[in-house]
Amino acid sequence: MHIGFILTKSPSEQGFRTFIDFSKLYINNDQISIYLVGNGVYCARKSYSNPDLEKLFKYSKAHVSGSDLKARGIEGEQIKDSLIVFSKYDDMVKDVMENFNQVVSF
Amino acid sequence: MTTPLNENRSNEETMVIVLLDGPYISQYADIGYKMAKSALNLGYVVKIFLYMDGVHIPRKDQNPRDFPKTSRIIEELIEKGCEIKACVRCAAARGYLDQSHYVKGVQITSVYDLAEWMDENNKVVILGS
Repeated sequence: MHIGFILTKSPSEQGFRTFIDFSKLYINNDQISIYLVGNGVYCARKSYSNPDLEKLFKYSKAHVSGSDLKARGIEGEQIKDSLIVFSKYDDMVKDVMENFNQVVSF
Repeated sequence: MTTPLNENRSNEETMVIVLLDGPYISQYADIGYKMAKSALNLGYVVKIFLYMDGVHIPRKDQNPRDFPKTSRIIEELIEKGCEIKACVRCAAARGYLDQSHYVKGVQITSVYDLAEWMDENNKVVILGS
């Protein structure tokens, strides 16, 4: 099963921990894609280190919104190398509608 | 009332967006708008359910000084064919006793409508704090 996570929370917000715990249920058995949008883009920074999140990124396809990064003053060189920057919400919407069996948002 | 149709729609795939936060206090009305607009432009059916403080979003006569009016973005989505419903209990609790408080096209309905939307194998995105 292909699970899509849309993460809109920064690591300091309520809900982020739930996202991590929830994603652990899927990581060993399912294909995972993650979209970081809104405040979720703070999770993309190189300067933020979280072993659970690193593992999750390693075993999934993770995307981050370029416009939301820009709105928060985060430059391209500040984000983790494994992440895919997407410029338009169209990319995320197509994935949600066409490729994910289930979508979960936090 | 007939369901408004997206003129660009090319298939029956439906995205349901549930908004839980009010305008100008969080990012979610804006994220929901961007997702809905994109989905409509790509030809999908889009339905938005306003729940809890989300029922404030389509209120008429908003006049924010420094932000785009959220009621205007709701109007824009309705013009593109988006179906938008607000929970009757949430709306009444916040003083919206009938649709005259809202921009044209927003329906006040039972939360059971949301259950039906979620039961139809649609893709559901819930946005809120």
